[in-house]
Amino acid sequence: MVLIKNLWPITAFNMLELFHYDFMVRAMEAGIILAIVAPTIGIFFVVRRYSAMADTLAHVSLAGVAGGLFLGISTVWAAFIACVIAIFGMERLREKRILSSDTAVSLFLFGGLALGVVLIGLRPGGGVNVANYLFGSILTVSSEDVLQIAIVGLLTFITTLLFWRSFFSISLDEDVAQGTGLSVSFLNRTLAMLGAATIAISINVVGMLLVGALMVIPVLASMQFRMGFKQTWLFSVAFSVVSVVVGLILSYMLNLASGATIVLCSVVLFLLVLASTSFSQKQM
Amino acid sequence: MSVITPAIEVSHLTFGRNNDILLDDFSFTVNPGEYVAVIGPNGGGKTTLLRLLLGLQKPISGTIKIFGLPVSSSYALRRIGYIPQRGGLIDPQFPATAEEVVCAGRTSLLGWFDRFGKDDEDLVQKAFEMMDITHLRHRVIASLSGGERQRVLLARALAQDPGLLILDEPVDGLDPSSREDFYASLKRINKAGTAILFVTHDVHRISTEADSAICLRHELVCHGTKSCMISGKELQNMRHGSHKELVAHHGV
Repeated sequence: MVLIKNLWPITAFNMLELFHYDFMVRAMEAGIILAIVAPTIGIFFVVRRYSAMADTLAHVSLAGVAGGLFLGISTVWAAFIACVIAIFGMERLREKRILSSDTAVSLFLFGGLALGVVLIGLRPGGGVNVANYLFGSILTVSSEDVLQIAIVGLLTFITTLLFWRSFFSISLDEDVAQGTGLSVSFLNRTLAMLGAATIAISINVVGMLLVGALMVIPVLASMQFRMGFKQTWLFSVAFSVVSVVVGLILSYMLNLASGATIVLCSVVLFLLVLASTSFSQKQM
Repeated sequence: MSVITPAIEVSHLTFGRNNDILLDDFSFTVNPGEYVAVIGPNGGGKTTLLRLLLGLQKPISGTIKIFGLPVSSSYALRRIGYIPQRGGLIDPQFPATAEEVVCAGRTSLLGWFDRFGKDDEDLVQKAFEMMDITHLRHRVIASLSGGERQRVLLARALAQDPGLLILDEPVDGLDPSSREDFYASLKRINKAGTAILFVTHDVHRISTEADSAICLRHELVCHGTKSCMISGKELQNMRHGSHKELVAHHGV
């Protein structure tokens, strides 16, 4: 009942009213940027079955955020640097055969989360709500954050487009790509770093526990249509933008955590797509 | 007198893993336009040899040259078109059209800032026509049969305009009709001047398809024309027979 009571007054008029609040405008700006960037990188993570890597980087990013807060530097850049260190650390452990890929990923996932919580606890003065970073909070998005998200997001997007053909080739078949002259290890590291940048800019809005979902679920939804790669990407961006916009509005109206609401919207979209594609297949 | 640069020049190649020697002091050459089958028992080192030729693994000793260039050079690798074992590496649910897969054959030849130009488009079109799959161009690979998907992969390799095609058991799992189509396509490609090296278990087809065969079981048992045209039974016997017996039998 409370849900319906809070939702019924949503009209075009009072939806526009939402944008009278600066924090809502900032959240929308940041949200739409990452709604475009997350599935752009996410599609390569999905087809390469790198979802565990996305989760690990998201957990490590908490250590970066905590380090940034501790040192008083940008949490976006600190999260990015922590993820890059983790990428090279995991690669090193795997190359030296000290640990297998999946165990190295687990080590960094749990280690990053634990380090983040401890560093936040050690921060002089305290006063940080860890839940904001875990699940996202639109109130925490400052104007500086929006600017950083725009810069890092644009750089990530352009770099991904530049490497698009190469990322596509290594995703299709890594051995063929390497056997025909592409530097697969360089491209893998570049892709992981672009994933790290996407995660770093998503923490405030979606939260580290849910950022992986925004990279993966819109892509899974568009894959149900069984289209070509570019069309799948365009549809996943569209699903992601819809999820973020609807999710942010609902999180404001119902006073819910923004990240969780956005991800739930993307899950609902996925289920709708799945139902419609299953239905149309049965009709054929 | 001009000297022909071999498409593949392997000399004194030795490869091993965990103190096991998998290929021992191995040398052979494949000339441009030559059609060579690689045969041998399972575990005899056929796939390992291909991975070494593609620079995916490094030998303990010896050298590999592709058109005169060391295999470590990306310029050498760009002249190789590679078809892996059927169904091995590409996820059939991968969201891509046949056109996107074939265009990927041009990736290693384009710089990061290069646009996909008319020359690239022409080579892609030519690859589709050569494989007779123009009608599949806009189909997603998930909707293709095994034989159609294999021809798309061959078209991807052709889009690279390679001087050398390397194939790892390319007809395994295909139905007889797709198999015939695939062999006919390889013949056409070879006649157009591309050297072909393919690993196969289909020993009955070697004499009709290939110019010569390389027979290996951890070392080079034989490399030649008639000397290597051995039967399937003999191939199975290689697992147990000695190198000397086989060499004596085939008179290499």
